[in-house]
Amino acid sequence: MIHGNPWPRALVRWALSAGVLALAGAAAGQLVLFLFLGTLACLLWQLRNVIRLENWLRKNHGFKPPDSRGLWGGIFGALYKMQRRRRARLQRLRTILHAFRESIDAVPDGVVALREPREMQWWNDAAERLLGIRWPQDRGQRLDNLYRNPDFAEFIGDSPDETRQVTLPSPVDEQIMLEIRVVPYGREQRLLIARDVSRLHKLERMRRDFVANISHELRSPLTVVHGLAETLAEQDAESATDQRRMLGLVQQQTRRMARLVEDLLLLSRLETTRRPTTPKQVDVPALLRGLCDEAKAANAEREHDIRLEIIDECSLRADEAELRSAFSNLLFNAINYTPQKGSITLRWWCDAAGAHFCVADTGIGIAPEHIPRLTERFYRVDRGRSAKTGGTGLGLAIVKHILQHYGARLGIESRPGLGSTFCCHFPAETVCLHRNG
Amino acid sequence: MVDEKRFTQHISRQYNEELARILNRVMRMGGLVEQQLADALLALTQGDSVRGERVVASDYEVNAAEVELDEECIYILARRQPAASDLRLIMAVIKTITDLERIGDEAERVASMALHLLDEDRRRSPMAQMQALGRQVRHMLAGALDAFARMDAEKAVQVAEQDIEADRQYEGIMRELINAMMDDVVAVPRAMDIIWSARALERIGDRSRNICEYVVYFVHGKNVRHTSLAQMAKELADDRRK
Repeated sequence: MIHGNPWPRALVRWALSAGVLALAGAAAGQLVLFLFLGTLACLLWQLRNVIRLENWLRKNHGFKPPDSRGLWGGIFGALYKMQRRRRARLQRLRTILHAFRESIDAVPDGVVALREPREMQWWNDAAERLLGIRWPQDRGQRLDNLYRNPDFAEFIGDSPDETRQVTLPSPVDEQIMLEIRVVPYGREQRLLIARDVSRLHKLERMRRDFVANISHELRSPLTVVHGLAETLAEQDAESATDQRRMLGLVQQQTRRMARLVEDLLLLSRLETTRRPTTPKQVDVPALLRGLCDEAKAANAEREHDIRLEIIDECSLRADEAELRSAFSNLLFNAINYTPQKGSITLRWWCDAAGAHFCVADTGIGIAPEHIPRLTERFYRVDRGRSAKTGGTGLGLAIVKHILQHYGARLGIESRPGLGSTFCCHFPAETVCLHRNG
Repeated sequence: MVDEKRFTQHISRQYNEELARILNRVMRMGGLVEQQLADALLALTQGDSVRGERVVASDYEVNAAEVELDEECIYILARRQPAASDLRLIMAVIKTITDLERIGDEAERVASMALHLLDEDRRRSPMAQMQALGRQVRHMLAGALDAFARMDAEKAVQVAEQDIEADRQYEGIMRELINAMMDDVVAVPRAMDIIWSARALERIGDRSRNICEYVVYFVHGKNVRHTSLAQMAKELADDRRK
C-alpha cells in the first residue's frame, strides 16, 4: 500500500529550520554555534525515535507501534498498517483451517495423515474414536506403536501397499471391524483411511454360517432318502419297470442334491479358512497324469481325444486335495461341454512369471457377455443344457476360491462354436523347480 | 523426521532414528505377544484348537524377537554410549522384552493346556471366571504397552493398580477349584490343569505390572521396583509437585 512520500515535506522542514537557525546565528554573531546546536537537536530527535523503534521491535510491546510526527510518524504509521494486514491474514487462515477441520471431522471414516509411512501428523474425530489415538499427545507418534495388531504392522510395514486394503479389528474394541487402506498424496505423505465395516462383516459372517448350517442339516436327510430309494429299488428288482424307473429317478436326484450340498460345504470351508492348510510340495505332473487317465476311463463313450502336454517337470507348494479339486473341475467342464469326438488338451508349464495350467477344448464355447459372470455361483449360460449334464453350478466358483488361496488367477478365453480355454496362473512364489524325492 | 520432542536432542539424527526404531520394535513384539495371549484365551475358553496350535507354533517368533532386540540394544549401548534418559530408555527396553518373552511363554502354556482339555471338562470348569481374568490381564498388557509407547507414567501407575483386581480374581478361581477337588477326587487332574492356566494368567498380570514399573523408571528416573502401589503413586505425586 502506498502511503504519501514524506521526504519532500521533511526536506522543506529541514531547509526552513536550517535557514531560520542560520539567520539567527548570523544575527547573534555565532553562526557555527547555532548551526551546531540545530544539528545536535536533529540528531537527538532521530536517536529518540530509533530507540523507541528498537525497543518496540525487541521487546514486542503491544500491537501498535509508538506515535510520532513527521518522517518518523510516517514510518511508524506504515508499520502499524503492516501489523493490521498481517493480523487480518492470520484471521483469514484461521477461519479456513477451522472450516477445513470441521469438514474433516464430519467425515464418518477415520482419516489419519501419515508422514513418512507411520508417523501421525493429524487426524479427525472419527479416527480418535476408531483407533484410540489422542490429540495432541499422540502427534508425531508412530501409529503401529499404539495399534499393535501384527496383521496391521505387516500391512503398514515400511512402505504400505497402496493397492491393498485389510479388514482388522479396532484396537479400541474388538467387535468393531475396520477396513483400512492407505492413499498417497503430496510428497511422501500418506492418508490412512479406516472405515467401520462391522455391520457388513457381521452380515457376511451370518450368510456364511447360514449356508454352512443349511448344508449340514440337509446332508443327513438326503442320505436317508437316497438310502431308502436304493433299498426299495433292490427289493423290487422284479417288479414293475415303472416303479423301478421312478426309484431310479429318485436316486439320481438325491445324488445330485447330495453333490450340491457337498459343493456348498466345500465353498463355505474355502471362504472361511484364511490360509491354505499345510502346503506341501505337490507333484503336479503326476497329479495331472492320474486325472487324465481317470477322465479317459470314465468318459470313454464320448470318444474325446484327451491329450496331456507336460512341458516342464515343476511342482507347486500347495494342498494336493485342493489342486486336484480345482483341476478336475476344469477338466469335468471341458468334457461336459465338448460334443462327441471333440478334443481336449491339458497343458502344464512354468516360466519366470510362475506356473500355468491350461485346459483347451473344442466344445460349444461361451459368448463373450457371459465370461465375466462365469465364476458366480449357480450362474448358467444355458439352464436347459446344464441340467442334463448334472453339474452343480458351483464348479468354477470353487476353482476361483481355491486359486485365490494361492494368489493365483483364472483366465478364460472362448469362441462360441469353436471352443474354450481355461487357464490357472500361479505366482512364482508357489512354484518348486526341483523335485525332492 | 522423527519428532524430537520424544527423545532428547541429538546431534545425530540417525541416533534419534535408531531409538525410535527400537521403541517401534518393542511395540511390535508387544503386539505379537498380545495376539498370542488373545488366541490362547480363545483356545482355552472356546476350544478353538486351530488358534491353540497357532500359538504353540508361533512361540519361536516371540523368542526370536527377544534375541534380536537384545542385540540391537547392546549395539546402541556400545556404539552410542547413551546417558541419562536415553540410557534409562534402553534399560527399560531390555527389561521389558524379557518380561514380554516370559508372557509369551505363559500364553503358550495356556494354549498347550487348552489343546489337551476335553470339551466335557471345559464345560465343568469355571470358564466364565477364566474369561474374566483373561480379559483383565489382556487389558493390563495393552495398557502397559500403551503407557510405554506414550511414555505416560500416570497411566502406568493406573494399570499397575489393576493387578490387585487380577490377583483377586485368581484367588476366586483357586478357591472354586480347590472346593471342586475336595468334593470329588476324580476332578483333580482336570482342576490341576485349570489351576496351572489360571496361575499363568495371573503371572502375565504381574509381568504387565513390571512393565509399568519400567515406564515409571524411564520417565521419572525413579526406581519403583518392589515398592507398593501406594508408594509408587506417592512418588509420582511428589515429583509432580516439585
